[in-house]
Amino acid sequence: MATLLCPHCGASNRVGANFCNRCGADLRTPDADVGKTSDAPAAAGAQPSSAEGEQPWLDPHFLGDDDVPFEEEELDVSSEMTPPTPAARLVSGVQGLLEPLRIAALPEEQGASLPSPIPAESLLNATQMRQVRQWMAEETFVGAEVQQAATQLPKLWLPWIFLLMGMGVILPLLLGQSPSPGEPVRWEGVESGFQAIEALPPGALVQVLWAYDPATAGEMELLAAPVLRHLQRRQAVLDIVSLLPNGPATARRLFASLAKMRGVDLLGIPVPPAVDVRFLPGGAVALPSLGSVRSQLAIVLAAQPEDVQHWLEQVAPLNRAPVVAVTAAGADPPLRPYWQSGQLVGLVSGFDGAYHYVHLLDETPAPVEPNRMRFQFAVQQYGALTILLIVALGNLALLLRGGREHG
Amino acid sequence: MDSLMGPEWGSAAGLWIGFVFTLLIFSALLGDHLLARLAQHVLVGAVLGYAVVVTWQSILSSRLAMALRADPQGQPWNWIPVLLALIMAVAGLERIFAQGRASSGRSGGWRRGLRALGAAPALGLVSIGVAVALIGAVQGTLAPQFLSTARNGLNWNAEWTIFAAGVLTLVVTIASLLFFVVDAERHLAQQPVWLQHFLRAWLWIGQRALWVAAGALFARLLASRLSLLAAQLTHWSSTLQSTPMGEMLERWWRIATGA
Amino acid sequence: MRRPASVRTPWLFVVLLLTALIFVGVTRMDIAPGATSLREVGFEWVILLAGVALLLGVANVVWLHVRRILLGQRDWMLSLALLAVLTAVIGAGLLSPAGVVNPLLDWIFDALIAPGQAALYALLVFFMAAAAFQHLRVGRRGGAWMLLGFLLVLLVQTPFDGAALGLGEIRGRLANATQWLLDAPVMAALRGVLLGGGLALLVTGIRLLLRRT
Repeated sequence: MATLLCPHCGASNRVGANFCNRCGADLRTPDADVGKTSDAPAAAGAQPSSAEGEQPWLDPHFLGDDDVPFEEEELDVSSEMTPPTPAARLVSGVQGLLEPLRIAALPEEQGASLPSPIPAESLLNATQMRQVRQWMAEETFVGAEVQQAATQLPKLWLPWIFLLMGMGVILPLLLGQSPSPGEPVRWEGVESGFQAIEALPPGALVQVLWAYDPATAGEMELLAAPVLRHLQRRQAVLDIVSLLPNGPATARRLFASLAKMRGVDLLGIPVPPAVDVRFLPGGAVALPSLGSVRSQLAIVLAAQPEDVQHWLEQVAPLNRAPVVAVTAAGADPPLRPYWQSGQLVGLVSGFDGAYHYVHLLDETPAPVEPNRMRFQFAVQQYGALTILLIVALGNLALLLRGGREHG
Repeated sequence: MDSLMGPEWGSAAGLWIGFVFTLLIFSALLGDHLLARLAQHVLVGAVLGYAVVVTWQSILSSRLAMALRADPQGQPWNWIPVLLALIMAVAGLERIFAQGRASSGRSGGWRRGLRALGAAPALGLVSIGVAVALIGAVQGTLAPQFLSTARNGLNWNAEWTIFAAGVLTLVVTIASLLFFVVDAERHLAQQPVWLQHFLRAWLWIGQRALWVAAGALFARLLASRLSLLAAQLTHWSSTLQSTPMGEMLERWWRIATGA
Repeated sequence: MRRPASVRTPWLFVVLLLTALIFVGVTRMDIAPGATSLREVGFEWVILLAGVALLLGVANVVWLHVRRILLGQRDWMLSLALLAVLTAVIGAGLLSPAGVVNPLLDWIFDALIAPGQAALYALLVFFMAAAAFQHLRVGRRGGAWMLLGFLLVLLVQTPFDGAALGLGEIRGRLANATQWLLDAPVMAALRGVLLGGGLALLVTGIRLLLRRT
C-alpha cells in the first residue's frame, strides 16, 4: 500500500491525509520533502527511514527475530539515521519555550548550510548524535572521523560558569564573610498547614506519603523535621508509605536523628516506637490502595509536584482527608492552583517555608539548627548574587555580539 | 557480618568512602573522565541492588508467601496474581535475553506463544495505569480546577480589587489553556478576521503569562538546588570537622587566613 | 527486515482498558457493595505485578551490561564494577535474616547511596547556572518575560536585611507585588498547564479506546 511519510516523526500515513496520525503534523505543507510516498513492503527491505520513527517493540506481536543484532546495527547506522525534514511548525512541549530541534546525523551534513527555517545553532553534530545513541542504545564507539569531530565544538564557557558559581558560593563562606541577617518572605500556606496539624486531636491517624529520598533530602529534611516534630507533639499516629525504594531508609534515618538531636523525651514528647515505613512499587498506580485508610489528615512530603498531584488525584477523592503539602521550593508554583482551589489545606515549601514553620512551632531549637539555617541563608544570598552576575554576563555577551538570537 | 564491620571502624570507613565518593561525583564538573564515570556506575549498581532487596523483601516475598500459605481450594483467587506475575516474569526474561540475538526459526512458535501470554499481565498493568490516571485526572484535577476557575473568576459580590484579580486569573487561565490547544497557523486560517485577531491577542497573553511563570519557576527551582548544595556543604564540613584530620585542616586554615 | 508497527491499539488492550475503567470507576465511587474490599484486592494484584515489573527492569539493565562485558565494548570495566556492586548489595540484603535493616546494608546506604545521590543532585545548581547564562537573555524569544519573572521571585525569596541596605519599604512592596504575581497570573498560567495536561490525557485515553494511536 502506498503511504505518505510524516516529515516530523517519520510515521507512515495514508496518501491524501491532511495530518499525521501519530504526531498531528501538517502533511499539506508544500515542502520539498513532504509528500514523499513510499511503498511499505518495498521500503521495508531497504531499511526505510520510517522505521526509526516507529516503535516495533511496542507491538505485542513483535518477536525480535527481525531485530537487527546490535553488531550489525552499527554497520547500518548512517542509513538508519536519515533525519526527517521538519514541518513548518511543530508542537513540541510548551510552544515558544521549546523550539523544534533538527538533528544532523550524517557526517556529510556537518558544515553544510541548512535549509530555512532551521537555525544553525540548533544542530547536533554527528558526534553528539552518536553519543546520544551510545547513551541510549549502548552503541559502540565507531569511526575515526567522529573522533576528529569531537574537538570541533567545545563549550569553552561552561567550565568558567561552573567555576564562577562554585567560587561565588564557597569562597565567601570559606573566608568567613557573614551575610547580613534577614528574614525570608512568608509565602501563603505555611500558617494554614501549621493550623491543620495543630487542630489534630491526640492519637489522630495521619497518613504520610514519603516522596523523597537521599537525592533531595538536603532540602526536604529542613521541612520534614519540624513538621514531623509537630506531629509527634500532637501525638499523631503515623501511617507512612513511600513509593521510592530508598524512601523508607531515608525516613528511618530522619526519625532516628530527630530523636537523637532534640532529646524528644526531654520536651515531654513521647518517643515513638521504631517507625514502620511501607514501600509500594508501581508509582501512582498503587496509590488508590491507600484510599480506604480513614485518616484525619494527609501529609505529602514531596520533592516533585507530581507526587502531590498524584495524591490529590488518587487518594484524596477516596478518603476525603485534608491534605498538607510539604515540598521543595521548586515544586511550589505548580501546586499553587491546588492551594487556591482548596484541595490543599496547607502548602509549606522551601527553606523559607521551613524557617517560618520552625518559628510557628515556637520551641527551643537544638543547638545545630540555627547554625544550619544561617548557613542556608548565606548560601542562598551568595548563590543569588552569583547567578545575577552570571545572567548579567550572558546579557553582556549578547550585547557585545550586537544582535538578537533565536530560541 | 557484624564482626567484620565493627561500629567504630565501619562508620569511619563509611565516612571516608562517602566523602571520596562525593568528590568523585563532583569531579564530573571538570569534564567527563573515568573516575567520575566509575562513581556513577557504582552508584547505579548500589541503587539498583538496594531496590531489588527492598522490592523482594517488602513486596514479593511477603505477598508470595501469603498466597502460597493460603488454602488453594478455599481462596483460589489468591493464586491468580502469583500466576500472572510468574507468566510476566518468564516472558519478560525471555524477551530481555533475546535482545541482540538472532533467534532460530524453529523456536519462533513457542516464543510467540510465551510473549503473547506475557503480554496479557503487562497490558493489564498498563491498562489499570491508564484507567487510574484518567479517572484521577478528571476527579482530582480537571473537575476541581474548572470549578475553582469558574467560581473565583466572576465573584460579583467581592471588592473590586478581588473581582479584578479574579477576572485576570480567569482570562490568563483560558489564555494559557488556549495556547496549548490552539495552533494559530493551523486552526485560525479559516476563521473570520475579527475572530483571528481576538484569539491571537488571547494567545499572546497566554504565551507571555507562561514565560513569566517559567521564570518564576526557575527562580524557585534555583532556591531548591542551592538548598541541596548548602546541605552538602553543611554535612561534610560538620562531619569532617569532628575527625582528627578535619581538626588539623581547620587549624591550618585558621593560621593561613589569620582568623 | 523490520515489520511495520501497528498503528492501531491492540484489541486486547482496548478490552482490558475498558474493564479497568469500569473497575476503577465503580470501586472509586463506593456505589457497589464491597467496592472497597474489591479495590483492595485489585490493587494488591497491581502492587505484586508492579514489583515484578521493577525486577524485570533491573534484569534488563543487568543483561545490557553483561552484553557490554562479553563483547568487550568501551568502558566494559565500568559495567563490571556496576554488576559487582549490584551483586554485593543484593547478596548483603538477601542473605541476612534481618532483611533491609541489616547493618551491612545500612552501611552501604550510608556510605554509597545517600552521599552519591545527594552529590549528584547538588551538582544541578551548576547546570542551572549554565542554563541561566545561556537562556535568560533579553534578546531571546520570550527572554525578557522570563527574566522578569525570574528576577522578581529571586529578589523576594533571597533573605537579606532590606532595612540595613535602605530598601526596607521597597522590599516590602516588591514582596507584596511578587506574592500577587504568583497568586494571580502565574498561578493562572500554571492552572492552564494543569488543565491542558489533564485534557491531553483524556484525549489520549479516548484515542486509545477508539484504536487510533
